[in-house]
Amino acid sequence: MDVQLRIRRFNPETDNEPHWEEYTVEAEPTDRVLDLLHQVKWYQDGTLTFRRSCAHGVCGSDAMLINGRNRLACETLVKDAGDKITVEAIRSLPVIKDLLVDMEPFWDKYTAVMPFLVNDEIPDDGKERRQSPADRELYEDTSKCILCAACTTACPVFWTNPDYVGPAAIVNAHRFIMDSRDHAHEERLQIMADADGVWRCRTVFNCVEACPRGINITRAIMEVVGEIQKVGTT
Amino acid sequence: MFGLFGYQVSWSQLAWFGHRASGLGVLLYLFMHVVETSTVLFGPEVYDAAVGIFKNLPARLGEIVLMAALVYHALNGLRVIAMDFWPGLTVYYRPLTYGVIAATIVAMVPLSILMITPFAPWNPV
Repeated sequence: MDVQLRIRRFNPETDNEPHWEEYTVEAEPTDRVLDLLHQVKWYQDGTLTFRRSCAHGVCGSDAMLINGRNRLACETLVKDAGDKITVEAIRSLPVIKDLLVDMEPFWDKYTAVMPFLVNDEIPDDGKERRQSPADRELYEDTSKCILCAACTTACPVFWTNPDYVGPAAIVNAHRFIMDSRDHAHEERLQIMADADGVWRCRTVFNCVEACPRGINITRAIMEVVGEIQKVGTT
Repeated sequence: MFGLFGYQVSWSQLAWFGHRASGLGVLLYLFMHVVETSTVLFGPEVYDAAVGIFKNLPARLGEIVLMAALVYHALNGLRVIAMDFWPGLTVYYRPLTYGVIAATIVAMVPLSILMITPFAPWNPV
């Protein structure tokens, strides 16, 4: 089948504004949007720029606005997207070129929540920090995040307020806040209780709809809110 | 579904947008209502005249829209508050959203009939 692919392109060296370009690509219904982008780049226009690495929904580098919704290009099949497909860069992050965005503002928010285990104590047996299956289950969902930024850039609050820490950073804070082995519980909650922290969530659920890993992000945000209330952080 | 702000809306995004729009609409009405009610300071005649502006069919239709905004805003607000208190409910955000929209429509059927009846063409005053 022939697929009409509309791509929003922008080259900062030659363009003042982004513009749309159309390509006709032959594809199978089981091909992915990423395959179509490869077709364009390899056989029609080598200047098309996008980011991808594993191409199998693990690395999270090819999140794009496909048919008006944030998705991973490597996980979106032509049979689901249809024969007219629009592709844009994810929103609210500076576009470097075409579908490639500057992820630095996103990483800044991610690192701000201290996404690592803080525990300087030596384990009881000197080898490993044990955890019950029930305690592990508390952050099972949020441990699945691949940092693709599909959730944060789908959030209307983030579109209008770039200072909002965003769903992805909260998900990764939740992963350690709910970890019984971690010792930076209150420090992380203090960051989350900031004016641009969890309180900005308006329960729109765009993040949940966009997450390619199926993480219930709004639930994680509400659980962090509950933890803040327990500790009484202001 | 259609796009809003260049992004394909989901029902939950529409519910959020409707919550904002209805809240803003009710707030604007409140300002108007305060002005209308304050005319009582200038005597009963002025007040009756001010209130009289809204005693007709088009104004009543507007009040029905206002009532729908109030009912929706209240029900959707309860949905959001419930998810705040019980994060487990977020699993059911889709049915809860549909439920709020359906409950608003169901509540507005008798309310609309009750509100429109005094001004309906078939009901001479």
